[in-house]
Amino acid sequence: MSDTKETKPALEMPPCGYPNIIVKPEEPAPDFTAEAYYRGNRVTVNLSDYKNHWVTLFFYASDFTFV
Amino acid sequence: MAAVAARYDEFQRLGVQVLAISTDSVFSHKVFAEVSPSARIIQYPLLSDRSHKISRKYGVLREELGFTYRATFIISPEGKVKYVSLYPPEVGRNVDEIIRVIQGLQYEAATGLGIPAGWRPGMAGIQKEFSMVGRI
Repeated sequence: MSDTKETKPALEMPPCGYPNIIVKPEEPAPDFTAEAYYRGNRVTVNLSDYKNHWVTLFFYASDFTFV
Repeated sequence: MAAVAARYDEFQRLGVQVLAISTDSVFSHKVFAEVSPSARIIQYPLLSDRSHKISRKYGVLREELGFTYRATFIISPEGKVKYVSLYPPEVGRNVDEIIRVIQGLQYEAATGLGIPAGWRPGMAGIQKEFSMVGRI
């Protein structure tokens, strides 16, 4: 390994191609599908299933934190 | 999420679907919901964004940490984002204000009236006529 040149890792772009720019009011809510825990079950949630309803989407950092 | 869970009945009365999402796994969500005293009362889905794709799509991922800001999005029945907030990681959300914004948005949708600062349900909205410009 002594002749291996030390290189800095290339600056990584977000892997899935979306720029990490916050979605702003009046923009369409990006659709998604996610696995979820709901009342004891493992379910799949599509945002599009909630069309025609008001939705509040809460992002939180982690389960088991203080605040 | 306990503060939201405690007010879930109000979201329901307003016909608002609540979704909570973090980069934790569904396995973590399950145990969290089962054992954490504050999470046991949660009655809405806990979504898992283990790939970070959704958090990145919404622009709330803290890339270097692998989790998100404390962000809130209110989405209209037409699928449009109407409200966004990012809280400091140190401070919990003001659920009163989120409910007030939903009530304001619903009032605007029903009446076409503008919603003044500090508006509360029961208060009047504002006519959005050009003739009123400069008179309020």
